[in-house]
Amino acid sequence: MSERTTPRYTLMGLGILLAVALLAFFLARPAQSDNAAVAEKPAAKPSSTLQSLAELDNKAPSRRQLDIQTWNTAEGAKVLFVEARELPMFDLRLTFAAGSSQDGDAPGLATLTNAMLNEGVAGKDVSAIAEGFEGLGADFGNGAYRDMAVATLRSLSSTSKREPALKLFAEVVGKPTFPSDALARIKNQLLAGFEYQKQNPGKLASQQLFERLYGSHPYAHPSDGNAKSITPITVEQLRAFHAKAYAAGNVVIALVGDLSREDAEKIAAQVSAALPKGPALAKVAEPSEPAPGASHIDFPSKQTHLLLAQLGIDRNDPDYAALTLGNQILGGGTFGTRLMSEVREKRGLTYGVYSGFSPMQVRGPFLINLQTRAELSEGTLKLVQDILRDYLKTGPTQQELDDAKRELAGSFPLSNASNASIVGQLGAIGFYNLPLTYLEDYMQQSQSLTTEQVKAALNKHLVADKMVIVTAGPSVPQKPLPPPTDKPAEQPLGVPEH
Amino acid sequence: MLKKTLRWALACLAPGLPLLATASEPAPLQHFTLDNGLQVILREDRRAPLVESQLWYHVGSSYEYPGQSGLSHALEHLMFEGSSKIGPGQFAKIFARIGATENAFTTHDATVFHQTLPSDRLAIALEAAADAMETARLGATEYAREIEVVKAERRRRVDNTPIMLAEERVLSHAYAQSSYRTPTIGWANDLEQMHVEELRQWYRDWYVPNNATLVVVGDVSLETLKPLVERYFGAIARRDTPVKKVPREQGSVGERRLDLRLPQLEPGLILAFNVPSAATAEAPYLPQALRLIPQILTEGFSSRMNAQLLRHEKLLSYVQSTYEPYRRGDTLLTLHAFPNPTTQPALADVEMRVWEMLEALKSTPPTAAELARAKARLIASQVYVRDELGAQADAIGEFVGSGLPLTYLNDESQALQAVTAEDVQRAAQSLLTRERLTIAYLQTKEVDHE
Repeated sequence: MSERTTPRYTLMGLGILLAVALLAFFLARPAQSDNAAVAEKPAAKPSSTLQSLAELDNKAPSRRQLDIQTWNTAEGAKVLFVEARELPMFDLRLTFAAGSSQDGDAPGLATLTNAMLNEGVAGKDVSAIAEGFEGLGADFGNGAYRDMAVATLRSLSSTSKREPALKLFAEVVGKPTFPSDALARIKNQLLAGFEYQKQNPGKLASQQLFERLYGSHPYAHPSDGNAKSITPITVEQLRAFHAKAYAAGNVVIALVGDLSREDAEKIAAQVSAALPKGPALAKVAEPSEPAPGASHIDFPSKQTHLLLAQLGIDRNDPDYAALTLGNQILGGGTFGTRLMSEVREKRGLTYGVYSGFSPMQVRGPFLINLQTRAELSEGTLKLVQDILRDYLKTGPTQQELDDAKRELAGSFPLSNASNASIVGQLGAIGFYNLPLTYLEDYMQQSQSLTTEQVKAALNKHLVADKMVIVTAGPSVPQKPLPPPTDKPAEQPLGVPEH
Repeated sequence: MLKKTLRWALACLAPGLPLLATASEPAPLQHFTLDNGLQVILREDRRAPLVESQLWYHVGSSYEYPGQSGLSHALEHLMFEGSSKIGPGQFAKIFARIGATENAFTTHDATVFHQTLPSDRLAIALEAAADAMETARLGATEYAREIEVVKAERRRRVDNTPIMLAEERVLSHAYAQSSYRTPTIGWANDLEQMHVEELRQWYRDWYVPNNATLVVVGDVSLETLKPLVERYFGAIARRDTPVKKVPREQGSVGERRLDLRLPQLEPGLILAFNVPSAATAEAPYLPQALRLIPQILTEGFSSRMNAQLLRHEKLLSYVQSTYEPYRRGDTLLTLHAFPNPTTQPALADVEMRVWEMLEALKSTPPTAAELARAKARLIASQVYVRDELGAQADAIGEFVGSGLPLTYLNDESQALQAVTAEDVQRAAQSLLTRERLTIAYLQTKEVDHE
């Protein structure tokens, strides 16, 4: 729904945390793998004799109906609210148009401002703030991306927990003091993260890709900035950025949980009144078309990272549904997409290959990414380009479109199952000015699309020969690709062979 | 733990709860057991028309014999390679098409197959799971390919991920006696000599209804669930499993020190203390007190080590500790500390300061405010976990795997609330000792660039 990047200050820590947590868990299919030799699954239709599957009628599954309520606060903040009384908790999510696209000539300013919110308020240092939230069992969260910066609160809903948690949250987002010792510490964390990124070819490739796609546009630089840009940033710059970008007119307040409309109005009013007064910031400019072509980063890894991109669409583009469905078939889904089937299933060249549009406030990227063995990287790149060219030429088949629609309808209930997912949806609807009926509209639009409409939309926005390509890996002699093995799907057998 | 009966054994735990649970209490767990021994646990969650279905086989790497490490996990992989009703490799595609997300995982104690799907499609998940329990194909061709996937997974997730490799080595020393030392992914040389016939035997031994628990959370009633489970699983015959041994540790076997130098390993410390789980602890307060210790020391921004060692002394960049109470055998309390790359303290100094903070917990009980904060965080997290179907089912399945009776959960919150500052101090004094400690120094091994 919205652009996301990996968390920043916890970059190294999070990696460690996950490693530790996952040591005991070995999945049947990890999210990614760099082993290319493993995959040779047949690409044909799933076959089964499951009786319950045969009995399943074609109707879309029912889904949770959301009653989204909306209003504006006295200071001009837009509020979206869903009452959900089942659990004694609530989620509050503030989305400011205060992402790194507002950095100006100080890349990293938005990230630092956001990271400094909970480092000090009048009479409380970072430890006292943390004790305040944690003593109530409340979780404070924050993050800055290209379009947006967020501050979140999850708390129990009983008055004795809710009221002090909200009071502290309002101070943190509205009246941070930006202590200078904390700024030095957070800069150090970011600097350590930059050092760590130098070892990560995927990260380096992605940074170069954004530079080439966006040139002088503010989406070009990473949200964290770089070592040179963050070092001179001062507390005064943070104060000035906070005063304009964390203004009540520049925020969307999303609320979900065990609250009445009256409670929600009170909370929104309290948070809004605590913020600096001011209007919404001007939208960033449209990016201009990048120069297509390939560039390479020499890196001593075994795998080569391949990234292929073009400018895609903004979040309000009328072709959003057609492009999302079209992309689902190309490389947005998990198994059986055109890219997965040709690159992984028939040739075993990668563990995973994915494509996707990232719609943003102005045109976000359309991106295809994969890793492959270094000596096969040139052939694989050409194969991916051929698949895209062919897909744009022929468009999806009726069967592909029907399957994609069914999968989309089936997975739709998951999109608003939890308070966490609903509050995220509300934030996006508010931030990108989508209609309240957006989720339903999107589903209906998607289900009524024809193959011709999907093909036309894809060709309106993508041109096979205009991709911006970045590769990162070792320079090694290249080998030809193995031929595809188009094994037909094996039929189920009656008994185990033992 | 749960009595097997000839008829449906229906029990509503926490019978004192009103039918309509209030917002502050989770819906009670409902359970029944089939004639063939399959346990079924249901928690209704009607917020969305979705259901989480998890089949837990109570077998994992701690059941494996030397030389057979990785067997449970390899079998988990092969379970997706076909059964009487589903072709090899078709499982994932079928479930994607009906809007389900699905996967499987293996731990020391369990092998788990799980799906999240629209609740009107639950029957498909159950029929597929039952078919796999009885008629998994386990073909030699698929094995030959899938074992390569497993080896690749090991290379990627362990051998090429230095922190995981370090972790594996720490566990193999910290568990001086018990089978919890066996890595779930399997030792590389064991994977090399694994044979498909071993997997088939493992499947015959353990994939039986009386060694499984079906955990269902979501938009379904017991009245709907029962006939479905009976229809698909009812005819599967029960079969005795091999004898199960609880992984136990002597505990105080003496300090074990490891010096691990690996290319690209971030410098840091891992400390692991041999401690009992909720299932093996003799004193009931102990597991709850142990749950509070990581909260006080490292979890949360306000915890002692975050405030003191990370922010004040700038000694560390990251610190974390964990204790998992719901294991069937003796377990560990582990602590990870990574030095601040800006100040670059020596690991010996990090160890000294970490140890001094552990000693402080032994010499002085935590303050009332610290204890209250630790409890508040744990109790709130038990509410927050109810926002996700999968997380709820994970917690239930993991708990069941510990072998403790479900009624234990009724008193869990009270037991946690009842823990005193002196209980925490006592737990630290008796368990966070040098005799129970394995400590590893992680250091970067410099490789020659030619």
